[in-house]
Amino acid sequence: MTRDELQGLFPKLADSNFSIESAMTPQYNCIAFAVGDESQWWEHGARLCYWPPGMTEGGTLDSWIRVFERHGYDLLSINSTTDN
Amino acid sequence: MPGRDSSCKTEKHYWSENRGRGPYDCADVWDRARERTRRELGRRHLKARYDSASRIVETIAGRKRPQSEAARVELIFNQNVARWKSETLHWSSIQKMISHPSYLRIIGIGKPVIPLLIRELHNNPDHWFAALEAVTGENPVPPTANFPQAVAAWVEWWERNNDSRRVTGTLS
Repeated sequence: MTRDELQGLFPKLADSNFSIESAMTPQYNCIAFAVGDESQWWEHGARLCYWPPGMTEGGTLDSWIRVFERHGYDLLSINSTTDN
Repeated sequence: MPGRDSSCKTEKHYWSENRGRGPYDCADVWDRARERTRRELGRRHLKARYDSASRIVETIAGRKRPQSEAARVELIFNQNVARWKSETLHWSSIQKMISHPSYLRIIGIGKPVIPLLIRELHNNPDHWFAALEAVTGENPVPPTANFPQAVAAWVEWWERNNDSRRVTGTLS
């Protein structure tokens, strides 16, 4: 994916100084990358995908928050969201 | 009554004054030549018509039609692959990706799409496992497989079931 394509998908990137560190891959998704796992796709209920044991819910903001909290992230009070 | 033509060197032919073909024309020689020409032209015309008809039959019932049908399937496949990749490349949900209209359209093509899907999976690995399972009714991927292992499992499945059509040969 090129810089232009990325900026088209995520317009706020246009205001930042970003660089492309690696090619896109279907092997893992953004959640997996965020928690340091580049070996598998993290998704609840999908075949061949990983989802943390004991987490019975997926696909919602709350479930993602709990997954990230398990991996050392803290919830801040900043109210800002970006699609995908 | 025609008499023997004094100008005919073979002295085998009779001159017909009524035909008026010229002083050295022999009526029956000319008639036979004309008949030969007519038959030759008729033969060529018949052959041309036969060749033309053969091409039409070949096109309708022979090689041409499957080729154009295969080309049509491949065109639909390529268009939908391009659209699917373009519109889902930043998505993080496989369940959402395989519900995209283009992904469903590819599944809807049915069995003719299998070799195209295998080739696409081999050349540009992506999440085609659900489509392959939907079209073939099979799932050769072990439950614990990772992405590269899943790709390899489907390629091996194809080669196992299509000995003469190896992915790295005919399909690529």
